[in-house]
Amino acid sequence: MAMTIRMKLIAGFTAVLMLAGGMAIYAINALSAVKDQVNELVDVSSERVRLGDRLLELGTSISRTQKNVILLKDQDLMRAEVVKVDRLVEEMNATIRALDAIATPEGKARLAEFEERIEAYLTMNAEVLRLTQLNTDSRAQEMLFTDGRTFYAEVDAALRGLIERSERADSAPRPAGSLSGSPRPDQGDLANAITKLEYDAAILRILVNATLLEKDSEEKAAYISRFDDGAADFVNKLRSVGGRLGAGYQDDMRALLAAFDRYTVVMKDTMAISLENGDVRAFALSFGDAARSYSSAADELSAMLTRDREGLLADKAKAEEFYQETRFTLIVIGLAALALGIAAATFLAISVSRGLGRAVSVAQRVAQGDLSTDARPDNDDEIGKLMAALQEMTRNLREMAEAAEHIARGDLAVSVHRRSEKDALGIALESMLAKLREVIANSNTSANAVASGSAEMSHTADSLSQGASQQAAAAQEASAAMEEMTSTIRQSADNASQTEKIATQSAAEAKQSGEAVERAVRAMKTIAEKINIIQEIARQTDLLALNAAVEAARAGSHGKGFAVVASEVRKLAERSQQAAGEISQLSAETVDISGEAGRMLEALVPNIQRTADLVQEISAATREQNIGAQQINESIRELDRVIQQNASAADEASATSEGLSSQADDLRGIIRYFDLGDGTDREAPEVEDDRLRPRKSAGAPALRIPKPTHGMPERAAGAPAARNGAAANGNGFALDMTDGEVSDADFERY
Amino acid sequence: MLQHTAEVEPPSAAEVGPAGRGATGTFVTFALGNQNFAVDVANVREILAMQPLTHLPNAAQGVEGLIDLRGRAVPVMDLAGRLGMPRAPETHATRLIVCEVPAGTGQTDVLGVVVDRVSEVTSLGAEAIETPPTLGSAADGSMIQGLSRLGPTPSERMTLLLDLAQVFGNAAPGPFDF
Repeated sequence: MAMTIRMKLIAGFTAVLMLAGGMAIYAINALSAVKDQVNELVDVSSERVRLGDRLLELGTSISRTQKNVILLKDQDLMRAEVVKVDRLVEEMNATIRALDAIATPEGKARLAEFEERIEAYLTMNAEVLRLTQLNTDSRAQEMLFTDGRTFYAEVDAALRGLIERSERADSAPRPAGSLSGSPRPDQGDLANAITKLEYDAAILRILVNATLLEKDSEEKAAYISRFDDGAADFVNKLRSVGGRLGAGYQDDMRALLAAFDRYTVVMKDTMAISLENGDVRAFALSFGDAARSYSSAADELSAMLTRDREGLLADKAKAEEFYQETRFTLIVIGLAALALGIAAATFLAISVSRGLGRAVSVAQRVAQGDLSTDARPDNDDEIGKLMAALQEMTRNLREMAEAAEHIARGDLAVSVHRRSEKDALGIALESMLAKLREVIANSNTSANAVASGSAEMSHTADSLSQGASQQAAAAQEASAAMEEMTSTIRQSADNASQTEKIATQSAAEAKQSGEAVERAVRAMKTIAEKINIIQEIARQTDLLALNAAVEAARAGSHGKGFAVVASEVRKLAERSQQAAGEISQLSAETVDISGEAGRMLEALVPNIQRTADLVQEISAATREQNIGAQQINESIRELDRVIQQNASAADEASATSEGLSSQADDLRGIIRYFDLGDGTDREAPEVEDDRLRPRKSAGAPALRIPKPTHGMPERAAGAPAARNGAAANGNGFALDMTDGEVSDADFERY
Repeated sequence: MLQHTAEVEPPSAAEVGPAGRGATGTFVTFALGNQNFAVDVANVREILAMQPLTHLPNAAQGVEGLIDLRGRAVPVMDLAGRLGMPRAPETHATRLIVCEVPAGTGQTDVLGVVVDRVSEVTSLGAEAIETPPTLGSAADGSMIQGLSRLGPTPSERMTLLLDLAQVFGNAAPGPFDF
C-alpha cells in the first residue's frame, strides 16, 4: 500500500479530464459538419427559392405596370411607367442568370422553358405599350373640346345672325329696294330653311360625339361616313338658301360657309384619330394573348419553385438526422466521465475522512486535556504522518504538565527546558518559573517592607491625630476671639452710624445758628442807628439845659430855682448821652463779635459736613469689617470641621496601618510555602521580630523605626550555589516528591 | 457888620457888668484844646450847636464868618486864635457861644465864638477866684480877669476867667466895621 493520497487524486482527475477532452473534440467536429450543412441550406437551396419568388414577383410587377400604362391618360406619366417596365425587364434577365448559375439540371431545363415563354410575353407587352402610347381617345377628345367647340360656335353664331336678320325682314315694313319682288310666303320659308340648317349643324355635332364614344372600329367608320354625307348635304342646303337670299346677305353667307368649312376639316381629323382606336386594341391584346402567354410562363416558374422547396425540406431533414446521432454519442461519453469522477471522488473522500477522523478525535481529546491518548499511526501516508506528530505532541505536553504539577506543589526547584526556540509553552514555563522565583523573593522583601512601613505609618497617624486635636482647640479659641471681635465691630458700627446722624444734625444746626447770628447783627446795626437818635436828642437836651442855665443865671436870683432844674436836666442829658454812647459802643462791639461768630459758624458748617462724611465712611468700613469678620468666623468653623475630619482620618489611618501590618504577616506566612530550592526549610518556624510587628497602641510617644533589611534577603544570599548544583545534574525536571504531604487544607483562602 | 445893640438890659448891665479883678458871679465854663476857660454869664446870650458858617471875603484877621441867628447876622470870631491857643478838630461837642461884649461907648456888640466844649454854668464865690499872677512885660495879662481851680478832675486844673471886653476890645477899639 504505497499509494499516497496525492497520487490517487492525480490519477482520478487525469481519467476524468481525458474523457471530457475526447467529448469536446467530438463535439467540435460535429459542430463543423452542422456549419457546412447550414451554409448549403442558406446559400443554395433557400437562395433558389428566393430567386424563383423574385422572378414571379417581377413578372407580376411588369404585368401590373402594363395595365397602369393602359389606364393612364397623361403622356408623361405613361412614359415614366414604360421606363419602369424596361427596368423591371432588365432585373428579370439578371435574376434569371443568377438562378441559372445555382439551379439543378432539371431546374435549368425549366428555367429555359420559362425564359422562352416570358420572352414571347414581353414581345406582346411591347406591342401593347406601343398601342397604348398612341392615346387616340384623348387626342380626339381634346380636338373636339378645343377647335371643334370654337368652330362650331362660329357656325352657330353666323346662323343665328342670319335667322335674326331674316325675322326682322319679315316683321318690319319692307324697305324699298331690299328683297323686292319676293312674295311674303317665300320669306317665311326662307326663315324656316335657316332654322332647319341650325338643326342640321346640331345633328352633325352629335355624330362626332357618337364617333368618339363608340369603341368598335366598324361602327366608328359608319358614323364617319354619315358625318361626311351630312356635311355635304349641309353645304348644299346652305348654298340653296344663300341663292334665295338677297345680295345684302351674300357676305354673311360667305363667312358662314368658311366657318363651316373649318369646322368640317377639324372634325374629320378628329374622327380619323378616333378611328385608329389604339387603346381598345391595346386593351384587347393585354387581356387576351399577352395574359395567356404570361400565365403559361408563370406556371412553368411555379413548377420550378415547387421543386426547389422540396429540395429545401430534404436538406432540413438531413440536418435533423445528423443532430440526433451526435447528441446520442455525446450523452454516452458524458455519462461515462461522470461515473468515473464520482467513483474516484467517493473513494478518496472516504479514505481521507476516515484518517482525519482519527486525527481529529486525538486532537479533541488533547484539547480537552486528556494526554493519555494513544495516537499510533496505522499506515504511512500523510494521515499516518499526522498521527505520529500528534503522538509526539501529546508526549511533550505530558512532560510539561508534570513540570507544572511540581510548580503547583510549590517545588520551584524543578527545571524546565524548551524543546526548540519556537517552543512557546516551554519558553513560557521557563520564564514563568524564573518569574515566580523572582516574584516570591521580591514578595518576601516587600512584605517585610510593608510591615515596617505600616508600623511607621501608625505612629505618624497617631501624631497626626494629636496635632489635629490641638489644631481643633486652637481653632475654637480663634473662633471665640473672632466672635468677640465681631460684636465689638458691630458696636463700633452702631456708634459710627449714630455719630454720623449727630454730625449731620450738627451741620444743619450750625447753619441755622449762622443765620440767627446774621439776624442778630442786623438787629444790632438797627439798634446802633436808633441809639444815634437818642444821642442826638441827648445833645439837644444838653444844649437846651445849658441855655436854660445861662438864662437862669442871667435872671439872677429869680432864676435860681430854674437854674437848679436846668442843672438837673443837664445832668440827665449828660447821663443819657453817656449811656447812649456806651450802648452804641457796646452794639458796635457786638456787631463786630457777631460778625466774627457768623464767619466762624460759616467756616464750621463745611467742617461738620466733612466730619459727617468721614463718619459715614467709617460706618461703611465698619460694616464691611463686620462682614469680613463674620466670613473669617465662618472660615474658622469650616477649618474646625476639616480638622475634626483630619483627626478622624488619622485615627482611621492608624487602624488601617495595623490591619496592613497583620496582612503583611499573613503574606509572609504564605510566601514561606514556596521552595526556592536554596536549601532553606520551607516549614521553618516564623521569625519573631518585634521590630517587624506593628504597634498595637497608638498612645506611645515615640516609635522605633524598623529596619527593612532584616530576614529574607539574608536567607537568599547563601542559597543560589546549592540549588544550582542540584539542577546541574540533568536537563530534565528535578521532581521533589518527598514532601508532597501538602494538601489543600493547608492553604488559606483569601 | 456888628450892630450895636440898642436895648441893653439895665439889670444885666448893673449886676453882671464888667467885673473888676476879684469879682464874683456866675460863669459859663468851656474848653479850648486842653485848657478850661470861663466867661461871665452876663456876657453870654445863648449857646448854640455848631452850624455852618458863611465865610466873608477879605475878612479881617480873627473873623471866621457869619451865622444866621433868628434872622440876625452875627459875626463869629476866632477866640482860639485871639488867645493864641490850639484848637481841636470839630466834634459833636463843639459849640458856638453867642456873647454880648460891652463896646466902650455904652453899647454892646453881639458876636459868636467857637469853643471845643461847653462844660457848665457855675457860680464862683470870691474865695474861689484868684488874682492872676503878674507876668511883667513878657505877656499881656489884661484879658485874664482871674483864675479858678474848677477843673472837672481832682487835679484842679486851672480855669481862666476871661474878660471878653478886654479880649475883643483891645484888638479893635471902637465899633467893628469892615
